[in-house]
Amino acid sequence: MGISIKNLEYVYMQGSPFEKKALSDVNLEIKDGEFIGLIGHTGSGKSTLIQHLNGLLKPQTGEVIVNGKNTTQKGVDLKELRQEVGLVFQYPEHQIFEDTVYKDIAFGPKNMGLSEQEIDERVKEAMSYVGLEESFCNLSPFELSGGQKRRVAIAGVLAMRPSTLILDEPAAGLDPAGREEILTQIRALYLNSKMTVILVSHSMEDVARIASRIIVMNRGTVAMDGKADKIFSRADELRKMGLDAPQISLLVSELRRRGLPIDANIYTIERAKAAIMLLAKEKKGAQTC
Amino acid sequence: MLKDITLGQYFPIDSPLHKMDPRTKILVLIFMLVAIFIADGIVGYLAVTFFTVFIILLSKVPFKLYFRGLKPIWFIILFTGVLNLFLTPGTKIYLWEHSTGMTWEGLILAGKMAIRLVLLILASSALTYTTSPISLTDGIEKLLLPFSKIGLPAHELAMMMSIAIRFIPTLIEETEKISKAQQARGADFESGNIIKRAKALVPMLVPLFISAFRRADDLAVAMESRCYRGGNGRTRLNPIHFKKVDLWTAMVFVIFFGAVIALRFVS
Repeated sequence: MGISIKNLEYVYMQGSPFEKKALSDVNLEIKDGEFIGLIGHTGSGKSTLIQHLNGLLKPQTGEVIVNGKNTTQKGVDLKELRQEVGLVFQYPEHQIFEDTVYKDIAFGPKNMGLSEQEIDERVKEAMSYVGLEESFCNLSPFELSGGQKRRVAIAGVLAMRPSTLILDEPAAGLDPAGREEILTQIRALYLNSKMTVILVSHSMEDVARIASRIIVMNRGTVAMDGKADKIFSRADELRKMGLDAPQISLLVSELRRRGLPIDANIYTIERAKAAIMLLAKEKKGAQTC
Repeated sequence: MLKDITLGQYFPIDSPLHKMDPRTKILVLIFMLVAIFIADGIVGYLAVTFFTVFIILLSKVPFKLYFRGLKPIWFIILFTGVLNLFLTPGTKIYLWEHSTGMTWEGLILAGKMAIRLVLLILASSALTYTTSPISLTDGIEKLLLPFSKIGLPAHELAMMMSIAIRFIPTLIEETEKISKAQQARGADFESGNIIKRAKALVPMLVPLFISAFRRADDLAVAMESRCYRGGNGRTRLNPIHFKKVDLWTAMVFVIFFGAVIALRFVS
C-alpha cells in the first residue's frame, strides 16, 4: 500500500530560543517495491523524515500514512508499525547489548511476542541475508569486527520481517571493501525479497548504483525527486546544495565539454567504461582506415 | 523530559554577571545559599528574595529559562510541603469546624521550605547560566589551589569535573539515540510494572555504558597524544582576573550577608 506523506512539517524544540525547523511542507508518495535513495547535506532533514515513517516522531502538522495507517491517529499500534517499517539507524552496531549474536538478533522478534521456533527461524533467515554463518550464533557480538557488528545490527532489524526497510548511512565508517559488501548485500536483499528499501546517504556513488528513484532533500524540503539520470544531470543545482554528482558523471561532463560525443546520462563506472571503450574503438577503427 | 534539565547550561550573552570573575560568583553563591537558610522573619525572607531577583535581573537571562530549571523540583516542593503540613505539631487548622489534620505551624514551615528551595535553585541557576563550564572549573581549581599544599589534587578534581560537565549533553544525546534505536526494534519503555520497566532499561543501559567507556578511552588517548601530564606547569590562554566589578560585588554582598545574620541573631 506504500507510504504517503502530506504537508509534513516538524520543528525541534518548538517555542524555545533554540527552535529549529527541520522539515517544511514535505509531500511524498512511496510505492511498494521501490528502491529509493534519499540524499541530502547534513542537517537537510533526512533523519527527521525517516523517523516519521515508523512513528518515532509524530508529525506536528500534516500527516504520514504508512500502509493505510495514519501515525497521528490515536490508538494506532506503534509496535506493529515499527515491525512493518524496519529502521536501521546510523552506526547501528552501537545499539547491540546482548552477550551473543543470536540473542541480539532475536531481540526484535521477541518483542513481537513470537514463539521460540518462529524466532529461531527468523534469526537464521536474517543471518543468512546479511551473510553471517550460523557459527556466529554463540559468539559475543563485542568480539566481532566493525563490519560484522554492523551486519549483526542490520540482521536484528531484518529478523522482524519488515515490508519496508530504511537504512541510514549503512556504509558510513567502513573501509571500501566493507562498504562494497554491505551495499551489494542490500541490493541482493532488495532483489530477493521485494521489500521497499529507502537508503539514506550523502554519498552519490553509493546511491547512484543501486537506487531506482532518488529524492534530494535540502533545508527541510524535497528539492528534487526522480530517476537517477534526471537528478545527476542537474549537477550545478546539486553543488549549490553542498552535494556533488557522482565523480564519474563529473568526468563525463568534462569529456563532453572537451568535445567527445559521450552520453550525458552516464553515472556509473561500468557504463562510463563501456562508453569510453566504445569511443576508443571507433577512434582506432577510424585511424586504421 | 531529559531536555528539561538546564543545570550546567551556559547561556552565552553579555551581562555584568557574565564578565565577573568565576571565583567571586562561586563564593557569593556559597554564602548566598547559607544566607537563604539562616534568613528568618519576613524582613529576612524579603531580603534574600530581593537579592536573588536582583541577581536574576543582572544576569539578563530570560526568566523563562529560570522557570524551566524549576520544573524538575516542583514535585519535591509539593512532597515536602504536604509532609510539613500534616506532620508538624502545633495548632490544628479547622475548616467548617472539622479538623483537617494540618497545622498552622506546618503551613508556615511548608511555605518557608518552598521559598527556600525555589531561591536555592534560582541562585544556583544564575551561576550556571552566566558562567561557562570551563571558567566554572577554572574558578573551582583556583579556589582549591591553597588546599593542594595539604595534598588535595585541585587540578585533577577540576579536570574531572570539567570533563564530566562536558559529557552530559553528549550522553543525553546518546541516550536518546539508543532509546530510539531500541524502540525501532519494538522495545517498550513505557508500559508494564516496575520490574518489567527496569528490565526494559537493560537494552538501553548496556550500549550507553559501552559507549561511555569507549569515549573515555578515546579522550584519554587524545589527551596523552597532546602531551597532557597533569596540572604542573600548565598555563592558561585566558587567565581569570579579580577585577574592580568583583571588588564592588564582594563589598555589596558582605554588607548584605552581614545584614541577614544580624536580622537573624539580633531580633
